[in-house]
Amino acid sequence: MITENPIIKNKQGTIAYLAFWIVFGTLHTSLLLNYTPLSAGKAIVDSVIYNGLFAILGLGIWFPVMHTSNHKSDLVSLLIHHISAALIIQFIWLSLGLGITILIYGEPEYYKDYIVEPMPWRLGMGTLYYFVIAMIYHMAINNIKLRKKSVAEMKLKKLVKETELNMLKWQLNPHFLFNSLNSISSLTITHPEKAHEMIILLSDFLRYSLAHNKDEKTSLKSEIENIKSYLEIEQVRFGEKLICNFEYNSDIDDLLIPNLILQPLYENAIKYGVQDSIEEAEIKTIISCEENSLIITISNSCNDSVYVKKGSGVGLKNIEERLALIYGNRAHFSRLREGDKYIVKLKIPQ
Amino acid sequence: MKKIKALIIEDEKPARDLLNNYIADHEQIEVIGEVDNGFDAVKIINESNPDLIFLDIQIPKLTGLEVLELVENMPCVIFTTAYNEYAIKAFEINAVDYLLKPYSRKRFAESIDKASVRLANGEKGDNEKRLIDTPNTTEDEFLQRVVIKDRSKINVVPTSEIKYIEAQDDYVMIYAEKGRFLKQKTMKFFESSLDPKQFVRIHRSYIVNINNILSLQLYEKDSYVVKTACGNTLKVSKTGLKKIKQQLDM
Repeated sequence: MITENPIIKNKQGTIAYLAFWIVFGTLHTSLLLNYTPLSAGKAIVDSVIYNGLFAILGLGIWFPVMHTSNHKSDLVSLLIHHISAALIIQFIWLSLGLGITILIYGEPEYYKDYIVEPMPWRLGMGTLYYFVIAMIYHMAINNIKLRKKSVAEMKLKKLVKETELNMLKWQLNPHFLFNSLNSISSLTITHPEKAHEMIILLSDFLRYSLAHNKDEKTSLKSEIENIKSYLEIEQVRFGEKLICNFEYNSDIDDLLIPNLILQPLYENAIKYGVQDSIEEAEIKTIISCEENSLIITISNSCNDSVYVKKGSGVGLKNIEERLALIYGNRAHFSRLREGDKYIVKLKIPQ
Repeated sequence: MKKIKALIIEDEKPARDLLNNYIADHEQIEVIGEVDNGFDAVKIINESNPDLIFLDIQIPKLTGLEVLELVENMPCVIFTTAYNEYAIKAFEINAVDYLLKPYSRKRFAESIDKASVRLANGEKGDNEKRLIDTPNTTEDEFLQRVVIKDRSKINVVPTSEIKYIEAQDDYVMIYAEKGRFLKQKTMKFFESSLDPKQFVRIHRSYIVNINNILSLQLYEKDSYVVKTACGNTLKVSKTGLKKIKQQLDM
């Protein structure tokens, strides 16, 4: 996941880390000067060796911290993990420090005062260093995680918004709306009673589309009722040319389905199956429940193979995206052409 | 007074009823027929030469704009549609008016007045102003099909079936899977309205479907030819060569 050490990765981290060591190095030197008989030169060398070494080894503390933050574990194993890591690092640190001191000064005459006696002090310091650095790493990791999470959340929100917007565009397909209004305008003159019916159908349809914008799911029954109002409106426009058939059992009325997910499919069926046809065109819907999933099959005739399909496919992409957003990969959506039929199949888990 | 012969081209019954009702206010107009699809529209227009047509754009078989490409004598055209995307095209072909559905009785009367004035001046539709240069699609989509009239038969050729197009004076010859078709359009029209990912203008006289290119061969010094899958050899110009190489990532 996060493999890059923030101290090496960004400049500010490096500067802060160096500053940290300069402060502790200075502190170390002044402590030695005040409480030991060491000369200034030796105190500085000692500080540079031990603090410099820990500064380098400290970069490695990143790994145990990252490991514990990636693997969820209880407090005991967390402590065991860190204590053993601290011990290992300090062992390396002190051995190297001693080795380098011997290398510089030869066999040290102040061996006893200077190396053996302050050992507990050094161990204490090392432990402090270890945990301070480990804590800083922990904070950095949490920070990065938090940022990643908020980016992911923003992405999801954006996708939901886009989907909503696209849905709105689909529901309020202006051509559908204006053609329907034109039909009504005609019916007010020729068949006022029918015009009245159509206004009510259109109002029901629009109300449903607008009201259900934000809700996630709705019952199959209300979704199908809405589709039926839509198809009745289209029936007025296309007359006997349009034939609609529904086959399903009313015992699945209450199963849930993302609202308005079917609407674009019927709109397509009208656009490609009915509008371009001069013969009767059937839109057939079969719904069943199999293995805890709703299976919806919508087929329409498309006998004219010459006709080139137009359209952006936004509606269909939208359906795919919404299904993926709600059900992950458990939902299914497929389209195929079988002879003179165009068939859309949806599988919606319950 | 001589009556204005009018044809209604509209696939929805209520929309036709409305038109008939509005037209009844204007005694000078005589409705000679109603058709609900593009093929019949072309047939009736060519047979009975109406003075005026009321034309919906989204109708079965052909679009209203494709109908106009195929008629022999352009009548006066009043578009009636719910789509506002085609308004510019409508005026490019000198249509009398563009009525957006739903339209009022008053607005309709204005269109009739305009048409009457034009017909009284002896102007019908403008044969020269057909969509010869400009595409009959909306801006954001490429040409999907080409319609060609071959004596009494109307051919609808999907652009994916076009192998190549050859310039022939004021016309172009379209070589497609089903045969070759002469069409009154310019090379410029096809170059700009076909999907550039699928078609390349390789020469002043040729536009070729990329899928139909078999090989590019050197012919004399620094002049090239394309061998097509359908067995033709087409000349390639210098700029054409550049375009082909770009398309084929050479």
